Amino acid sequence: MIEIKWNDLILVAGTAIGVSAFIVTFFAIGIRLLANAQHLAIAGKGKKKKDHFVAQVAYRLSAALSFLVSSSVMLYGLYIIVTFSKAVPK
Amino acid sequence: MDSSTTLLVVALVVALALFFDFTNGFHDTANAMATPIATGAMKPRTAVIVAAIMNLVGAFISTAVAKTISVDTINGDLIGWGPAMIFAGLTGAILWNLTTWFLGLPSSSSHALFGGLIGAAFVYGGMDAINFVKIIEKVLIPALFAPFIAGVAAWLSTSLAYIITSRSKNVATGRGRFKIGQMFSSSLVALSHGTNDAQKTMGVITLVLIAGGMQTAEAPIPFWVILSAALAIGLGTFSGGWRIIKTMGHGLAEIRPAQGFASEVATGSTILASSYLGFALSTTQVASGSVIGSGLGRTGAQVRWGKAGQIVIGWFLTLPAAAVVGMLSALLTRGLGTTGLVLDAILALILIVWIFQASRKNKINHKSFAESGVEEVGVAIQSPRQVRKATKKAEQKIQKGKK
Repeated sequence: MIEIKWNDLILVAGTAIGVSAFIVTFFAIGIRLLANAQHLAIAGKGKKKKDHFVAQVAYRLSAALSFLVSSSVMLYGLYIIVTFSKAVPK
Repeated sequence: MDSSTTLLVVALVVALALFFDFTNGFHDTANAMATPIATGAMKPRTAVIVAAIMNLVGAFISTAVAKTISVDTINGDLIGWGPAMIFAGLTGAILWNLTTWFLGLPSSSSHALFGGLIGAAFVYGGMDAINFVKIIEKVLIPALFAPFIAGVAAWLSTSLAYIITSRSKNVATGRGRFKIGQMFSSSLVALSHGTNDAQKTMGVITLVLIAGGMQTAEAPIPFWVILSAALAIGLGTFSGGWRIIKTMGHGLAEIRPAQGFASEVATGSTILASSYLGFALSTTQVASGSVIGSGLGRTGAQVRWGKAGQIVIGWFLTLPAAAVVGMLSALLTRGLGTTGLVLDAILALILIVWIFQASRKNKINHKSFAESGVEEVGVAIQSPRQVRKATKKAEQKIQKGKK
């Protein structure tokens, strides 16, 4: 009798799609924010230089936070590789 | 079988298992490194070095898992795991792996191993030796779902990446920075590959040592087995399966950094989620599905469905084709005993050398990527016949020009 673990399969699909979308979204947000900061750096050569500098720093900090979130999830993947493969025989 | 013959047989099987591990390495380099090479995130040589190191490290991480190998597609208790049978199975797996490599088709090395062993088991134990239900559960169903799940994950991720980073025309998007992300995501995929695939060889070698009476089932895996399996997969990865890398990186879809990053993250997430939740999926099928998904996720990107179709046919042929070779090989080992095994080894060696020689006629190495670059997409692997046809066409063109 063929036994397909449909629940596990759906869980694998949901987790894979959700996690990859999460990581890529945060990385993309980081890139977007960095690009914003760069555009301000190019534009901010006139009177608004000071305002632009503050905005630039804010953009860069937010970008760093986004990259941190994204890389934390990837590091969790690394943690799973190390711990899971040691613990559970196939 | 006397002790010296047993030692010879075991030594032959161990050597063949390590060679399988080597082919597994260079066959699967593309899973992690095809997209970073295609987008220029890493230089081809650097990419394979990183992949080799990650596979080597991965092989050492997961030694506990190697005690058992997932071969419940065969009723092993019924027929026993004789070294000669394993030898025949490995021959089937290696020859199919090399054939698909020659054709530039990414196919599952695990399925090739299962196929080879199933074919050999059929000769030794008949139909009862094969667990067809498990083949459907563990090979066919996952083969249907793996590329689909990874493809959806990559498609969604790519679409999100492009939506989030989109800007009005003539404004820099900064999407080139996805290349930095690619370095990490591809390394993670290579590491997870090492943890999964090197164990198969460790499992096979351990099985042979137990069958040959050189180790008890309870004893830990000898360090030399772990070291040799890790080195074999690392060396295989380092030599780079450039033909498959070219198909995956350039032949399936036109890949840009955002797509490459999304594709690798989707591959890594799917492999890890499936391993964690106990629903093993083929790394190769997952990676191929991700590349296609990322191709669909970017507006204007092309997916070469013809090539994708060839790859899918290769997936479904892998198990039966490796089984047929395993079967033929087992007929020799079973019929002629040790003589058959030596004959089998010689025949396999001749075929392996022939495949490598044939591959030299249409040589693809890391330099091919430096020459072609990301722009030259669509140049998939050409068969010798296609090369002759193209040369003839070019000659005719030159002659016409002279007239």
